[in-house]
Amino acid sequence: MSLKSRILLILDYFLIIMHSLIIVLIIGQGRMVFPPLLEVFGRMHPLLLHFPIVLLILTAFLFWFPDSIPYPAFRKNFLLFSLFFTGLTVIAGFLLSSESGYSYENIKFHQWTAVAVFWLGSIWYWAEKKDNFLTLKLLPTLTLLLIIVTGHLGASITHGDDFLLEPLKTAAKNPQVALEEADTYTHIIKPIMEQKCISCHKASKQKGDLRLDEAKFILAGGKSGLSIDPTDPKESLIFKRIHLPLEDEEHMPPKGKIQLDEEEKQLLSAWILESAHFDKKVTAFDAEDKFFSLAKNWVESRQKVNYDFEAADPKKIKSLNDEYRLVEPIAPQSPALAVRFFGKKEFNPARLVELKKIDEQIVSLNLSHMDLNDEDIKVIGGFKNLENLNLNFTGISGQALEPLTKLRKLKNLSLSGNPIQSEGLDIIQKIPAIKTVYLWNTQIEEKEIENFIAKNSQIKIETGHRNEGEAIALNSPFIEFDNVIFEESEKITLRHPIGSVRIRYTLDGTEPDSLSMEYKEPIILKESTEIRAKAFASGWLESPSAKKLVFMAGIKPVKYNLVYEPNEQYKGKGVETLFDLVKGDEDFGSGKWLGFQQNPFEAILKFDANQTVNNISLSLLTDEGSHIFPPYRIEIFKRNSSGQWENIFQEKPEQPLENYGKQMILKNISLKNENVISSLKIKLSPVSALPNWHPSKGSQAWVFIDEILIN
Amino acid sequence: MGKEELEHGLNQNRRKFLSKLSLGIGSLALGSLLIPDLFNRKSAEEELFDALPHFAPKAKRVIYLFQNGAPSQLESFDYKPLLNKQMGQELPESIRMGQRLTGMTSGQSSFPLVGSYFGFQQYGEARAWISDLFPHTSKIVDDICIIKSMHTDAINHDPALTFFQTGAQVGNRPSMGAWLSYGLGSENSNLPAFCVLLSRGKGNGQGVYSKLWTNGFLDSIHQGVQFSASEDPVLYLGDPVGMSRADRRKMLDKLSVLNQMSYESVADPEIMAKIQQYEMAFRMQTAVPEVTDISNEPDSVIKMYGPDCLVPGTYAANCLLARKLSESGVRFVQLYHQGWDQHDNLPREIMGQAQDVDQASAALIKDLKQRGLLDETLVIWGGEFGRTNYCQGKIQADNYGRDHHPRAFSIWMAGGGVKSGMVYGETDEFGYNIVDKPVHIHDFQATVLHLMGINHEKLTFKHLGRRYRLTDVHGKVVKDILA
Repeated sequence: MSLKSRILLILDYFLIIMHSLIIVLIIGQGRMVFPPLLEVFGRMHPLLLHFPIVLLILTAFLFWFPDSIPYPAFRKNFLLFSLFFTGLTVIAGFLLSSESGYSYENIKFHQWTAVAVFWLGSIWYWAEKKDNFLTLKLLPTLTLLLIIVTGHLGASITHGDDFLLEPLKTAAKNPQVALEEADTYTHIIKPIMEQKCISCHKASKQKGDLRLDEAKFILAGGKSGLSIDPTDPKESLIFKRIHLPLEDEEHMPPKGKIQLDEEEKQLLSAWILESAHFDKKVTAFDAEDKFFSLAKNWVESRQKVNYDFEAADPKKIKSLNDEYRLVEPIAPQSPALAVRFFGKKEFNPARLVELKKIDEQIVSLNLSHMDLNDEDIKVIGGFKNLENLNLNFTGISGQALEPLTKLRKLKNLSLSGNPIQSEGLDIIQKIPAIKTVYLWNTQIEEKEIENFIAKNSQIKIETGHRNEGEAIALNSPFIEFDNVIFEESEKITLRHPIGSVRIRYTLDGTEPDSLSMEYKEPIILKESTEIRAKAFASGWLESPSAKKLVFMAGIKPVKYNLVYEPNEQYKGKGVETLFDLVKGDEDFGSGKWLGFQQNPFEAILKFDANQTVNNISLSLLTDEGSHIFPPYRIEIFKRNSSGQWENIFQEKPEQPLENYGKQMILKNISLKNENVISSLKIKLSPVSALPNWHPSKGSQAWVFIDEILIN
Repeated sequence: MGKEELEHGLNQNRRKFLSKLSLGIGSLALGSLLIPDLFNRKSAEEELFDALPHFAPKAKRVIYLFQNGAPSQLESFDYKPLLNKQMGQELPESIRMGQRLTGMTSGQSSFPLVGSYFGFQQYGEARAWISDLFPHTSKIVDDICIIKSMHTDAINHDPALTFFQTGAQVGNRPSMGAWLSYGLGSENSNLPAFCVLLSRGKGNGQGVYSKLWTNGFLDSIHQGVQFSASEDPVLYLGDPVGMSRADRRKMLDKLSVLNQMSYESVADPEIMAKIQQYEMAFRMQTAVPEVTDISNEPDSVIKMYGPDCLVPGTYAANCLLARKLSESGVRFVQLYHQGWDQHDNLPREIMGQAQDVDQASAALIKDLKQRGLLDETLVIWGGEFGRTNYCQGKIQADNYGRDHHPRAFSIWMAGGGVKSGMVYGETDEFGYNIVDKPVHIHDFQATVLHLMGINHEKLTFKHLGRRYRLTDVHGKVVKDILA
């Protein structure tokens, strides 16, 4: 006997042996105990099962097309070979199913179809001798169909019931639920467990004798103990095991399986620690509870993604986007769209009508500051899934809101800044799902809103800031001009940022009041003047007065020089700076100022002929933070007839008591007697030691001057 | 199989080859239907953009009221009566634990504790302690979340400020606003996504520099645009005298044709970017005056912010402008109010600073709320670090100073997905160290990004061979403060 024949003979015997073995296994099911080595063999079932599937399919082909093989014995031997693997697989399956975690209830169909494959295949093998319809067509076909069914049933055990068809029905899997309707277990805990736990803890596969697919099984616990321990939640096995390090043997889900993410972990923990209720509504939790805030987040973030309408065509969305209109999904992968308009001037009703292409998908629409009319609101009334609508400052009236009552999902409505009167409230009341309405700066009386709130406590009304009674002071008007020192005339403009105020002013140094001249057009000044202005408006207190001085350029000396040079850093254009009619700015380093610290400022001015001088103005800068103070002493001398310097003026200006920041000062000095002068000396001595309040007390102060005006 | 058959099969001719090839190509084509982006595969950076935002955002916009110079937490939100009781006593070494001090006080021979000159009261449902310096803020306490457990790494102004804004103490990284502009783009394409407004109080000031609103290594369109208080809020935006808008349009059209030609010949994408930026500037010419004009604001709004808001360049005016910009769809408005650096003369100076900001900050919250915008706008108020519980220099009950203190300070956040009416974190009774729920700068940044719908670990930019993030390699979202 050749080796080939011997093998075939052995296989033939094996077939009979396996049949008997399987009958024993069927009878003794559930009562048998196997040595570990056999358990290893049982666990090879998932590997072995692929062989009979492939081999039996091939065999069926060989029988369907008998002419395709050179000699008929081949197909018979092939069938035997296939049956050998089929038998091995069936036996391994029995061994595997006897391990804990598989109940007969759930594997019975798979088991019996598998056994049927083996039996049917064997009949086929024994009946093979004749080439008839039975052996060539019927038996191959039946066996083939049966093995497909068996395979599918087996896959359902390991991968879950809906494994095969799941991709076709994902949409239905995440039903959208509002926070108010969400149940703790059904809508939050169960979906998490379904995704991450039940593949091993379900009816068909109960690892550790634990099922997590229904509330009663979760409470029952498993082999290792209570999955939820009501007396000591921290001892609950679910809580303990999900927090073990991943490397730990007992960590759940086991290493290699899809892990719980941080949010899911927190949700499960908070749920267990905060009493693990199964039927409690999420909203029944205290707002302070951690579980509540986590669950709220969970539900709301899913809501944003799950809508029961189809997404709009991305090309359509793209075509609606431009510089003045933004159309975008409210969240990644969400079919729901938010639309916003920009640029009042670019808006026209047609642009709103264009949105009809996506009327189903718009859930959020912002039209604030666009000019709308009643027709536009009718268009909005067609966006049936709208939830948030912002119509702030769109100029719409109360009656115009009528079409919004058709919006069954509208929750938040912003109507601030519109001329809406009380009839608007009646319409708002009729919007079915309305929750929050913003009614600040409308024409509805406070009383009416109070009544409305009393009647409709479920609607939140935000009326915002009302402050009509409390009058506060206006800010001062701005006095604007080009040159502080002018040569012939200067145009003065008064301005206030609030359009409705009246500005009143004086030009004689007195305080303006409600009877002073009202500013209408720019004022032209032709002499040195002190301008004072105040703003008035109804509902406001009058502003403090604004004060500005402008100077007509005076007599320019023919010769002038400085006794001491200014500091090297702040030397401007030298002595010329004093008479260049350029007013220095706030930047004392700009080169328009002369700065003195070590030496006093001392200037000698010579006039052409004897001049009558009544008035000397010094333009100074102070900035305490930068050590720039008013001079310690101002002295003015004139050269008398005998050629001596004679003091005609002396003053110690008041020193600041704190840091006032940068200030420009025009020190006006009126000479008492009429002074006919040929030469004049002006001396400003810096403060030698900064006062005690100053951070750099004791150091030398600066004096800054930029202009001298003589009249 | 016969030999002939085999040979025939091997005998390849052109017709056979082509017909088989066509089959192959046909199946290739069929297979490629399953790869939708086979021929227009996107770069990693483009894929990043398609993925943004990473999840549904809570906040669409941010207004960041930066209190530059570091306001004292001990005179604002962190009430420590013990410091008043132990006024003048030495800071216990067990509390200081030899931690780093600045050069300004490390030489001091003694560290006398100093309590707040100002009283504190409890407000709101959270019974939050707020000092008498902030009467308006105390009225909005139910709308804000006070975090008392912020801490930072830097101890001096510039590094701390840079750290807060860019996630690194050295100034070469993009600012938070630039990251958001990069990640989320502009909401309103007629205005920049990132705007910056400056104001200055009378208190001891610290400078702010444009590096704080830099785009860093990101594209320059993400740089913060500074709005100035002058007549020209955005510099160089206006047309020169004598140029009409129509002329400008014509000029831009011609320029665009030239740029288009140049693009067609060299295909540099920067050229297209340039065309778009010119177009945006053109649209900004009408959008900016619209947004900066406050003459149409209702009287009640002006009164709420205080009359200061009518003086351009004040903090109040900037708050009002910030609301207008944000309402118009500017993604990130960054304010800086300078003058909070009270090393000495604290009671007097902080009074002025608080007066500058209190009313307008509270008004901003109320104003956003009454327009229904607070829910989608995140407002942040706070400085770069805190101030020491001991006195810098000589101590007097009514005049003292405080040095820099990075180990604990307070900020508040409001709106945009943050829990309202909440006080988060706790410092020890000396107000020196954090004892509960510390929030690091990177945690804060991660949280802000999270609220904007961005996973801070995924918003990256590849530069000099590595991927950079705002939170570097740190940061944990502070989930407890999320609404």
